[in-house]
Amino acid sequence: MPLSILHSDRGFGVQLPKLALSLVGVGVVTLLATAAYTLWLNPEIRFYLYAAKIKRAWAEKLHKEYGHAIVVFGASSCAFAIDGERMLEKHGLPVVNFGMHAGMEPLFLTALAVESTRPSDTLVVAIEPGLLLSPFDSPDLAAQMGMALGNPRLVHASDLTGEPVHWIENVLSLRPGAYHFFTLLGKIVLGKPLYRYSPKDLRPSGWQQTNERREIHDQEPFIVKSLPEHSRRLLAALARWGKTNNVRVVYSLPWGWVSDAKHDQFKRMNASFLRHVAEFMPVLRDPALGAHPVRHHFADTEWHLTAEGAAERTDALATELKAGVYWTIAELDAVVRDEESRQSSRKCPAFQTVLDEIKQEQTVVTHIASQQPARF
Amino acid sequence: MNFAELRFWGYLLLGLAAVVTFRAILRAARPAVLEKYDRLALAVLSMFLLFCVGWLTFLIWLAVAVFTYAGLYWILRLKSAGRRRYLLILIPLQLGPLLYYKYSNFLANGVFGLGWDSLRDLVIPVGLSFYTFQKVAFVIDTLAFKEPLPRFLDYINFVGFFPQIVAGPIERKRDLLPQMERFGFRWNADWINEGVPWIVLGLFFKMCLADNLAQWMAPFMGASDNPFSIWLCNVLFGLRIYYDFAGYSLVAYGLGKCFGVRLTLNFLSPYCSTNFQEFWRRWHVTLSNWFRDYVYIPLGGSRVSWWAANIAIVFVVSGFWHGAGWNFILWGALHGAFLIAYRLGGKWKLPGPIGWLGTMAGAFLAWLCFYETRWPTLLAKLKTLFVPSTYSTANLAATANVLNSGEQIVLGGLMAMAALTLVMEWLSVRRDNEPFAILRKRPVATVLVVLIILLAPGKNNAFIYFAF
Repeated sequence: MPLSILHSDRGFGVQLPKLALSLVGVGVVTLLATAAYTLWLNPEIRFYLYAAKIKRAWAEKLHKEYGHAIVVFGASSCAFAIDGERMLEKHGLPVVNFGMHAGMEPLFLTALAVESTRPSDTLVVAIEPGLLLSPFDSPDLAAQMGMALGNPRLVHASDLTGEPVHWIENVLSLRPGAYHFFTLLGKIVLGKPLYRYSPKDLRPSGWQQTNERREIHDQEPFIVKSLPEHSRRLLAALARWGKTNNVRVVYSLPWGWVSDAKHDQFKRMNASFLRHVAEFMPVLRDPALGAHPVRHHFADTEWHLTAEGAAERTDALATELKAGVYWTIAELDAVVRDEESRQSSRKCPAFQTVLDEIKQEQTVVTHIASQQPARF
Repeated sequence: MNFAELRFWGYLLLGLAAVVTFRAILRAARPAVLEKYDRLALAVLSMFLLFCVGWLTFLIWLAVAVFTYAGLYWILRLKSAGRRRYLLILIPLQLGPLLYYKYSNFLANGVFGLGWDSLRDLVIPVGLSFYTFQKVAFVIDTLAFKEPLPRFLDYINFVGFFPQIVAGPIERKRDLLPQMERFGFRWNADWINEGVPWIVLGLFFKMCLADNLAQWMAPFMGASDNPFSIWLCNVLFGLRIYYDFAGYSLVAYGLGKCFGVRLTLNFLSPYCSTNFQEFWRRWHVTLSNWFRDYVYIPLGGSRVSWWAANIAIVFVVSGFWHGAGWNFILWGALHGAFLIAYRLGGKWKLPGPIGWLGTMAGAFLAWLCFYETRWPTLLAKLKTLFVPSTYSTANLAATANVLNSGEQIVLGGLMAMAALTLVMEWLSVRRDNEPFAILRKRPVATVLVVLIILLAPGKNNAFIYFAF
């Protein structure tokens, strides 16, 4: 930039702006140092590199031993929820959990999971609604991970979306940022662990647990009128990719904690979200519609299930996968509408009918699942 | 033209590369036209960079610029006796796009309740408020001082010099036009060495302080009944808007320096002020000067008995310039009231620290009216701030508990960095009356470069004043 200057009328003997050049030099050296820190020392990146490594290894193992796998992916709500070992032992389902950090954004999360998916696999999309409703505009963590994994094409899911690799942005993202810098400084000063989670929190299948317990907050439900264009593009690309590569792609709503007071509104919100997802791919029929009011089933956030909660969620997903029952758009619309009418009249026979049907179905599905636990 | 975006610097380098290449060819072929080429190349470069912001932004700027020049050309051909009355036609026409894009929705729907939905989603073209005021001032100055119309190319460079076009400084004809008339692309290491520390400082203000502080208001915004949360938001916003706008202005100033052009410093460390008069001499200097010269003095200034009304009018109009909403008008009115109160109590000079505390309390209180655009919420929050019983330990604890310990460390670190920066500004003002003397020193500039790389968020935020 400061070399914006253009021409010396003297032609030769151009004087160099030494101060400006030295400042640019300091910037370049600092960037190299922060890049080295990010790629090799950053405790968060190191943890997720390890996570990616064991998840890939488990997927490889499943493909070798079973010939196919069920790849479940999403953000940390997925990482904490799906116990691959339990899926295998109790339900006979070869599942790998590709849940990672929400900050990596859906494009990277999807690309990482797709990379380990093979023809005849099932790919279960379990990205939280909030992530698909937000702009994909802070890909720093994704870029850091993509560069650390040696595959920058993961950052914007280039193989899926056709988006080119943004080399300059990726390199410039290899910096800690204020949040990381100050929290790291605080942890060092206070003698705390440098990252909240450690490799021992991870099981071989990719399932993650923690002993951390924190206060969690109620969610504010709202009605989803439409999905943002970038999310629609991603879901459409994923559905197309599934068809082309003989991979069954389905969506499964993650479980989130919600208080009893907001339980119904939360379900309605999720139904309004799912009806848009269902335009692109089948949505597994979770009768609870992602609303889980049991407080002790959640650890350090309203999306991180404890082992007990994860066992329930894992069993429920196994049941849904085996049954292969999906929500239809009409049913989801009915849930939204009937909840609306219930809001106004406080009475909702149609909504109740749908819920009753779901409950009956769930009983049947659970029964079927218990009859055929060995093979999917 | 977002200086915090890598894209801007890429376009600038691209444009400059083209300028240099053509200049080298021309220098060999027709050296006699180099002088004219430089001015033409600057105009093309500025327009190219504005076009990169958006084609509509560029077209509106160009339309207002050409219309202003043509109107002035036509007026100057008339007999000098009747010229001034044509200002009554030309200036409202100059203000037309501004009125349409910025105020039509507020006036039609907010004030008159006409329910014209087509006006609701209008997006203000970037820089419209700034360049419109600069062009209005150009017309008045040309006619008032009976100066000849400059060459069109020089005029275009005056109204379109790229560092200042989208968010000021609102330059005056007498300051910038002569520099544009003799502009030439020159390699001058001293200019660059002088300009780059300003750019570094501006980027530090914007990317390290403003953009990072911006992320911390949201968790506290909802509490209308908690004065501690409201004050925290006021402080966060006050710091953010200062570092954001001053950051832009400093980069613009530094870029100007690199090209051998001296722009006006728009911010002179306003948070070091010990009274409101001083505050407004240090905050958005070129806008304050504009209102002083084109509104306050024509109304009679301070020499008339109704000077207080003049101040009130100026500040209400200033508030309205900042945004089309009652909250902005209230913000302007509050500042007007503070200034009138200061002038009325001028005989009683407060000790420096008390004056500073009072000025900061008023300024940060008023920021509430700037960021809280929901009128009922604004009134509720203002009420909360003035009810003593709301200052309870329970509310204090509630504010403290909004963030977890990690987040508190981050916010604390950012606030400490902002405070340290203000202290350095204050030391510079006290020593040299030059607010940024210490922050531009070589060792400090080196540290700032390191901090920018370490702390700048990856996500770019537009400059707040782009929306004005």
